[in-house]
Amino acid sequence: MDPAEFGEEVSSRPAEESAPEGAWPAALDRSAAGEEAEETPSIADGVERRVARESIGLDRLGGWITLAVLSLGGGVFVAIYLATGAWDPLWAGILGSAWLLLTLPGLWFAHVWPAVNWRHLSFRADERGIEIRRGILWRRVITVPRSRVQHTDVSQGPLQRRFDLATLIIHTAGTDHATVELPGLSHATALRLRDHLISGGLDDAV
Amino acid sequence: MPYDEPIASPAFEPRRTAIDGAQRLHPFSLLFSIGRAARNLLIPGLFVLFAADDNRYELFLMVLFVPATVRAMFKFLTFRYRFGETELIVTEGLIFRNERHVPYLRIQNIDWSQNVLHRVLGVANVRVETAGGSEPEAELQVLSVGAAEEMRGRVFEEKRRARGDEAVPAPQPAEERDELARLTLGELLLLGLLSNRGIALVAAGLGIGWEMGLFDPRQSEEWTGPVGAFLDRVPETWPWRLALLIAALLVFLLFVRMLSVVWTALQFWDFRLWRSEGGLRVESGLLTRHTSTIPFARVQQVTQIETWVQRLIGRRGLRVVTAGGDADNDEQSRRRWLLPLGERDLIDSLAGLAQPETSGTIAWQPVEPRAFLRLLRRAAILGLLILVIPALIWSRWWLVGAALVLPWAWLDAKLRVRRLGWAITGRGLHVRSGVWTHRVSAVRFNKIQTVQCETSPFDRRFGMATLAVDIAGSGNSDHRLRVPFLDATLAEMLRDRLTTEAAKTRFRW
Repeated sequence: MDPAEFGEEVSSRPAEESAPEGAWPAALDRSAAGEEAEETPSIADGVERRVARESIGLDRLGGWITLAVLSLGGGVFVAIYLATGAWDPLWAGILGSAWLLLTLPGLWFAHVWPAVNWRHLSFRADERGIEIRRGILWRRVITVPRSRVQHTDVSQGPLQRRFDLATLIIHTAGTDHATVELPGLSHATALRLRDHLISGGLDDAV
Repeated sequence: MPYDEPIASPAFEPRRTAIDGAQRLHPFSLLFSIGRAARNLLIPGLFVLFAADDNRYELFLMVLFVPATVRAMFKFLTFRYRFGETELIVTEGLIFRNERHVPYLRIQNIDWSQNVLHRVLGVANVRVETAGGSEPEAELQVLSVGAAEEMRGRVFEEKRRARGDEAVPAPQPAEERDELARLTLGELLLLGLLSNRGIALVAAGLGIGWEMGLFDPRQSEEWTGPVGAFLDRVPETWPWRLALLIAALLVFLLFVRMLSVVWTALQFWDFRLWRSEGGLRVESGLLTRHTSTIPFARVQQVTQIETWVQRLIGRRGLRVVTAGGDADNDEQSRRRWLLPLGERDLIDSLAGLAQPETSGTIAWQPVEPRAFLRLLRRAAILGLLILVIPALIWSRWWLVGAALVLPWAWLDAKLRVRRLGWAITGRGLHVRSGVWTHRVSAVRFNKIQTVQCETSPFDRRFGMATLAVDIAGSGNSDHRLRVPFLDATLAEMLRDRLTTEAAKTRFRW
């Protein structure tokens, strides 16, 4: 598998978001590459990657479906009200503009938000474990050491299967972050990440 | 062990698990199972009795005990436990048979509790706990005290053998173990006087009283008896009324303190902390005596708590977080005290004993001093919304409130920021926080599960971030490991450092 297939590298990142120099020591990255640089390149190369670009399409699809259901429902409600014939213009105006006010931002959320979200979701795997970076306004970077992974799931919904995408779910013994999810991965990448994480790190050695 | 039995053995054959040193519960189990059912039925039963005012309902209620009794009989007759080579084996059930294997290595705790009746009858309720989940892995209700002691001895001995350190000497009987600390009667009274448990009880009492209509104005309009006679004699003038009010307040406060003392005495009577094999052992309680063991390896976090009154008299409390168990359980929360009140030096040394990796002097690192302005601004904006807008709408008096709140917010922000701190020593992370009640916690690197950096839009404006460390069982903790207002670069570096340290170690339950 070509490393490029794991996902796009996050090359440019606005200055305010960039991690400090040396946040992930270069020495660790090199040792990782040295140990596993056989025929298959390791995903644990310390490179920060975005999830699959196809996930934007999936999220948009989901958004469109939700929006269609909600706004059609609302539209039907408004239409029934108008069809009764006994409507007064004030209420018709209020209902109509409420419907527009819900639908127009809904359009934005369904179409633009997934792309913004995708730009703000990335992961980085190395010998120590995995780092997941997410959130647009409230941003969170979480690191799960490999030696703390209790077990992992790779789950695929029906829509995800169509897009060949998967969600990686990491279970830890923690409390607030007992499960850490990374959605939008290509299925192959999710499997690679899973194999990397459950190969256990220290547990084999002890 | 009947592992080599043919698989095709018919299900109705005599149970093989019933032999080979399998042991039953104590016959008094029946009594306690039925007693527990009775307690569950008590409240609805009383309601029915009071509502119906007819004796036939009593007989009718007895029917409800039949299933409970039958279930208790079945449980007693089918329940067996035995000590396997590497695991404790508990079998239960007649129709749906359940055989549970609990490896000795996984057993975190063997707790026993004895209420008054248990103690009179010489039995104990034993809970075998592993790290996962909130339910005990096996609850043996009830064993004789001897069997309970044997259980504890066997399990810890087998555990040691399974781990392979034969060299460690067998645990001494409880009496000969070294006692680390105990709560003297004076300290117990002090703890009760300083705690605010009483007010919670009063609030609960008021709630029940309200429900029962005690405060119905039609009923309480006239005071009768000696109190009423006394009140009638008090002149209805200002100074007298004030004096009466103050006296009533004092009596109320005294009453609340008394309740606190009683409550505390029930919980912490004769509180003792022992050193036991590979861990600590805590005993406490007046009516229900509770004993639990806390292996050192299971300690996830150690927290020192010091309210401002305790600080004045140079004392504080010490708690530990262990994995497993849920936060709502009162028994659990009581058991997490290593010592509810003790002199500062004693608490310090006990904290070091419970978690030697994090002991020693701590060089506290401050958070960003600019956080003070953020907190003050937040308080000012909130104060503006809550006080100034009503002032514009209703009365100018609200502005006086605003004038009083701002200095308070200033002081609180100043103290809060000064108190926040973190430190890394040896093999652990330390976090402290709190203005009036000081909390100081320490966690070992090998107990850190995940590390997270969080930045809100406000954080980014000030170049700050929050560092949060997740551990097992922190649902029980009353001090989360979070350091807000860190410089963003520093927070990232800390996240990296802690991740590396955690990744280097192996987590064992």
